[in-house]
Amino acid sequence: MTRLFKLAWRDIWRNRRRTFLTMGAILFAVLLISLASSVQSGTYDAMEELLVRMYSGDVQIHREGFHAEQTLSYSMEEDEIDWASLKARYPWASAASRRVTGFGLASSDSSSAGAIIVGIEPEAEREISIFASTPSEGQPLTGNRGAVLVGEMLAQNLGVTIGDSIVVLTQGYRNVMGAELYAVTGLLRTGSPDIDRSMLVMSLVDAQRLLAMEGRITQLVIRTDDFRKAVSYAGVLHADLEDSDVEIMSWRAMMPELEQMRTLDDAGNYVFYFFLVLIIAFEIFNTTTMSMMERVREFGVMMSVGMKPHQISILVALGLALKVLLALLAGLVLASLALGYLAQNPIPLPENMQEMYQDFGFSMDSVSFSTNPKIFVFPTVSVTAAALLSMVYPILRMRRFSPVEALRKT
Amino acid sequence: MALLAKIAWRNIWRNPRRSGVLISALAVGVFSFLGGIAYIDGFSLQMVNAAIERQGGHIQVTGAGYHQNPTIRSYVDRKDEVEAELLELPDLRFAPQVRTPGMITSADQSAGTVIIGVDPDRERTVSGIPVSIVEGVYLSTDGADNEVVIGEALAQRLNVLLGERVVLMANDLDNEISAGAFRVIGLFRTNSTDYDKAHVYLHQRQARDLVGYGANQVSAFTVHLDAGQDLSEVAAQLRASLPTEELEILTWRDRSPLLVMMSDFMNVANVILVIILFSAIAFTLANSFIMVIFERIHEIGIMAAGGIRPGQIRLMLYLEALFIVVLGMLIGGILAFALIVWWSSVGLDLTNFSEAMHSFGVAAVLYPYVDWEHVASGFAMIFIMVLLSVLYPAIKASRFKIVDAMHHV
Repeated sequence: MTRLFKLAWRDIWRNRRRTFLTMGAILFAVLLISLASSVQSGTYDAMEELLVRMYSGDVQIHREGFHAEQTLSYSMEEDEIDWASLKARYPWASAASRRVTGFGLASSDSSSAGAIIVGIEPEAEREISIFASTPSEGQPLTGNRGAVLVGEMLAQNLGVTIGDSIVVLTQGYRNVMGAELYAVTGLLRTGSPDIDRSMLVMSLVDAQRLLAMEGRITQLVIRTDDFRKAVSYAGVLHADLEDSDVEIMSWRAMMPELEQMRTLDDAGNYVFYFFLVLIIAFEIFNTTTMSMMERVREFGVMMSVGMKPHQISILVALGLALKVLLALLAGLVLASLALGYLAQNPIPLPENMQEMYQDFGFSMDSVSFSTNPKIFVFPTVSVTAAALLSMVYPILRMRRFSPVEALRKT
Repeated sequence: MALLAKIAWRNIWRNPRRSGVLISALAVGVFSFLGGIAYIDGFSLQMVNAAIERQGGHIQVTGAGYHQNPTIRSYVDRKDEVEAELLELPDLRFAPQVRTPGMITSADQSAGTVIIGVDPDRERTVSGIPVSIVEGVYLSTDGADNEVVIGEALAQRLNVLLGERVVLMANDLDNEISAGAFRVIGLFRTNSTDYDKAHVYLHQRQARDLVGYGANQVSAFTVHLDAGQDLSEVAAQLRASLPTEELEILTWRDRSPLLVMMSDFMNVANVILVIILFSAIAFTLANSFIMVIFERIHEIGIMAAGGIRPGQIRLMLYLEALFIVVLGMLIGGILAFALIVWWSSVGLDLTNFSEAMHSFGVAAVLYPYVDWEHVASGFAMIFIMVLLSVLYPAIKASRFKIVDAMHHV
């Protein structure tokens, strides 16, 4: 076996051009698939972070049923969740803010529109999310009564701007009707039509009063030290708060569309990779078959000096396995190096794209690459599988050789 | 030349296995390229089109100022005339819509929503909603009863079931709140839960009553293009034939910078994918051709000894490559054609890849799209790649010293 290994090793370096071509194809495939999935995964990671920071926060605690129904009957006491003790017990729970979310009809002099009313604690909320702390025009909320931030498209639809006032009509907690007058102090532009088209943000106290929710809130929004771990953190909180009638949701559970989009894209990529791997597999198959054809005479000589057909099969398989292995390793190393380099020297996004992002309140200035080791799994597995499959036929053929025939072949 | 061609042709069949390897390399390359590109084009077309449809169509014809301030106050006043003009243009799919923000209320819940009044027959030609019904049916042609179709997610939020009543409320032209009771006859599910949560469809007649429009007034005409139609060209045609002082004719590119960004992103990503695919094909082809020609150095030496000049040898190798390319492309093209025809008829259901895709409904089924420009440039690229990969070994082989070449095994 050691001898066969030595022979195989020599074989692959005997015809360098062919070896390099085969290895080049594999290396290239691994490198390109890795980079492609890195860029894709990195872009999604960046997008998820932006969206979590935008509005939802890492984890939310609310009354069981609130997320599905979004009504005030699923609200809770302001101090139902003992945040101070949670924070003391779980070092990863870094900040929290309370919100009241409800619906109402906003009216200006000229028209009216349905709106989502969000009451926040301006100070605490700054730690959690950016939707309310960076209005595109005007001032952020300070805690002053009677001030609202209005989604830009909503403001447009109402025909109001900063300094104007609007009336908000609601059906509050326990169906108590509410109506209040507010001054528009800022406009929100987040790029999320859901927010821009329908959101009214005011201080928690104002919202509680408007919605007849004194002393009550709908959500406790929590920021953790790492939003990627939000699912497991939510699990921990769930176990902790099992006795109370609350639901704990991570951002993943709250924004299923994100996951859906990513899944769709991923599934789509597999179809594309199928065609790519098909070519690579064929490339390996081709090289193997051809080098077999070229080496028939050589095999004949080897067999006539006593080598068994199965040994030749092993020899060929070993040679190929070595090539695949080397190329795979080289491809992975090269991909990691490239990713390392890109992490140090990010590729800037084109100016106009950066501006476009900024318009929507995102700051994203370079192409995001993911360095999650997971991105290497698919290229490794698929290329190895393709290589192994394409070896089967040429090696099976080997068994049918007879030395005499083989020697006669030119 | 004719003699060389004959020799080249015979050379191909002299060693069928070797030629088979080359031809199949080409066939697989062409097959993968065509399959891959049809898939990529189909996928992005479908995604972008779904998003465009949600944003109101490729081109929207509305009252002046509607885009800036989309209220019921800017509307198309002479619907029938516009409709007649649109019918004049060949192969245009379009539908009138009455759009207004409003509220939908069930027995125990209410939510803000976009209310869209449609002409059900016309709507079927432009919209994916009629085929995205997961429960119940789409609006009937005459809209005789007060029927609405709402998103599945909205129905869940409102706690209404199929057949139950909802109340729609909106501001009318006199700024009074008007309301109507409707029966939910269908639930739809698109690939955006956000969209499903915020849209209600009903017959345009009842939508007009709701906002106080006359029979000849609508908010917008949504115009949908087929993949081959040129957006700016059609928009220009529309601007030429419709009265632009009272109407606003905007393409989706004018209306939605976010979508333009998404679509540009997608195009960049597609270019990268195509480059990756081509690199792999180039490697395979270069590899095969280089190997095959170097295998024949002995034979080429003999030819040279027989008095054939290097230029002729090169020409012969090129002719062989040409025959092989044509055969390979033919076979690969036919296989790809068969694949695409089959695929177009059955679609590719991505739910096979992942359970999570079930929430997408019909949007999870992908169809290929053949962009002939891409196909033609692909064939040209493959052709050039083959010529390039033959270049190096052909030059090298034709320059070998005769004696060395004949000794080469």
